[in-house]
Amino acid sequence: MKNIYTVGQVNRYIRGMFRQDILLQGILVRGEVSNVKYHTSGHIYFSLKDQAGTLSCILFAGNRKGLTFPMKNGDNVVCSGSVDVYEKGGSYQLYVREIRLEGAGLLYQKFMELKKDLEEMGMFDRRYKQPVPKYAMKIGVVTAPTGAAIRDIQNISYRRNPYVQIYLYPALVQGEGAAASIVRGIRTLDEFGVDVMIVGRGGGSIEDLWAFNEEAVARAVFECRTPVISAVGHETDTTITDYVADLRAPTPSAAAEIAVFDYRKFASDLNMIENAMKRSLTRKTISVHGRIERYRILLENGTKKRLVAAKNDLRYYRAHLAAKSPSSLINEKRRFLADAQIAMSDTLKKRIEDRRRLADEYSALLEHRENDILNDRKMRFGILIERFRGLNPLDRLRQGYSYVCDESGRNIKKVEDVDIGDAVRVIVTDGSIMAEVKSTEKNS
Amino acid sequence: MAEENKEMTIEESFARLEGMVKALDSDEITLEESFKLYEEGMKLIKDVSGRIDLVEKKIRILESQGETEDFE
Repeated sequence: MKNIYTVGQVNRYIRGMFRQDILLQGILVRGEVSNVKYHTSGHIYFSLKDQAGTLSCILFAGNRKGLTFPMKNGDNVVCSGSVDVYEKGGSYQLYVREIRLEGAGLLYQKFMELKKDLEEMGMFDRRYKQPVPKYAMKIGVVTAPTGAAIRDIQNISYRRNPYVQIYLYPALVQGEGAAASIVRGIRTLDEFGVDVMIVGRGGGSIEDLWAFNEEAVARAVFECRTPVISAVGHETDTTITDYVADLRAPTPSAAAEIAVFDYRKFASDLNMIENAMKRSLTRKTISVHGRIERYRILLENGTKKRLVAAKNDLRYYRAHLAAKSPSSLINEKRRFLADAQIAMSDTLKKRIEDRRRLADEYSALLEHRENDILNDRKMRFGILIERFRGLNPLDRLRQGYSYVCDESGRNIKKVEDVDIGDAVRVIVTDGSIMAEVKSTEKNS
Repeated sequence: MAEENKEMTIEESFARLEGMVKALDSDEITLEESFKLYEEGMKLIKDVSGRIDLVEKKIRILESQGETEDFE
């Protein structure tokens, strides 16, 4: 008769078998995530599946750091852990310690990990960055000889400065062996000796750009003695090489703009400096000339003045000395006499002249006076005539007034001048009227 | 650059030239010094512009062995 076992015994037995299996205790399983449940306890329950079947999985809360991305149904992942038996359920499942994304996701994860590692090693540190020379004459390029990158670099360098020499290391930039090829290129150009190096390629998918995320490439860039400009893909693509490079250019074109200095600007800068120097020197020499001229004039004037002063002094002393000589004294006396004579005759002449002039003046004055008096008279006579004209009695008569007088011709001015019965004469313009006083009336 | 170059780089030359222009512009230096600076500056300018070989260059392909050939 065979032994009979309990369920518990069977499950425990099977669990023991699982535990003895080395493969099951440390296994990597690839599959697609389904039925993922984030439990409130922090445990994550999910299944891995492929065309052949399904495997239950659990990631305990204590292993949460083993999951570095937001896992969702449909993700292709690789889980590491151990397969064990859940005795109570009589089932086996994968106890997951770590989950990694496959494919693009895996690449991203690898990228993040390498970035973290290299960053911790200090390979991105600013202090290792070499300055990119402003005037590079020899430029190394590590890229594909058939890609867009070398065309862009070529165009820009021909436009900016066709005189710089570009050395291309034709590298394999994607696929198998790309990283090694790029590393060789960097080392070869570094050994050959260029002023600056552009390492990169045109745009592509993350897989296409992957070589620039390889540690070997990063290390080669880091160890390169020549300053390296990274130029991988488009502006939005950032690779490990970009972090390690001395300078990151967003595109190969931009890298060329940085590496190839503009010849026209170089020439014009040089020209400007030359002109500035010429101007400065001209200004300086002109100012010095001015100063020299000023001193020359000052000096000249100084000597001239002295000379003139000395000459004057000399003249003075000579004159003074000469004046004291006997002949000069005699001459002086003679001259004095002559002078006196001239002076005397001059005075006489002047006096006669004066008198004559005075007489002339008086006669002119007199003549003038007579005229004045005559004019005065004439004027006064004129005024008189005017006044007499106003006094003509006939004028009054013409105006309607009459002149009354008594028989003896006495003018009658008042009432008292006549008596009643007196005869009076009234003179009018054309004759006289004889009248008799009838009555008198005095104004009250 | 692998080897030590005793000559000034173009960038250093530019810096030196800028310094010279500034010095020439200042009233501190004597005329003799000015002439000397000017002469030196002109020489440096000639030297710097002469540093560029004015021959249009083709891209050279550098092989691992260090040999070069024209790129197209």
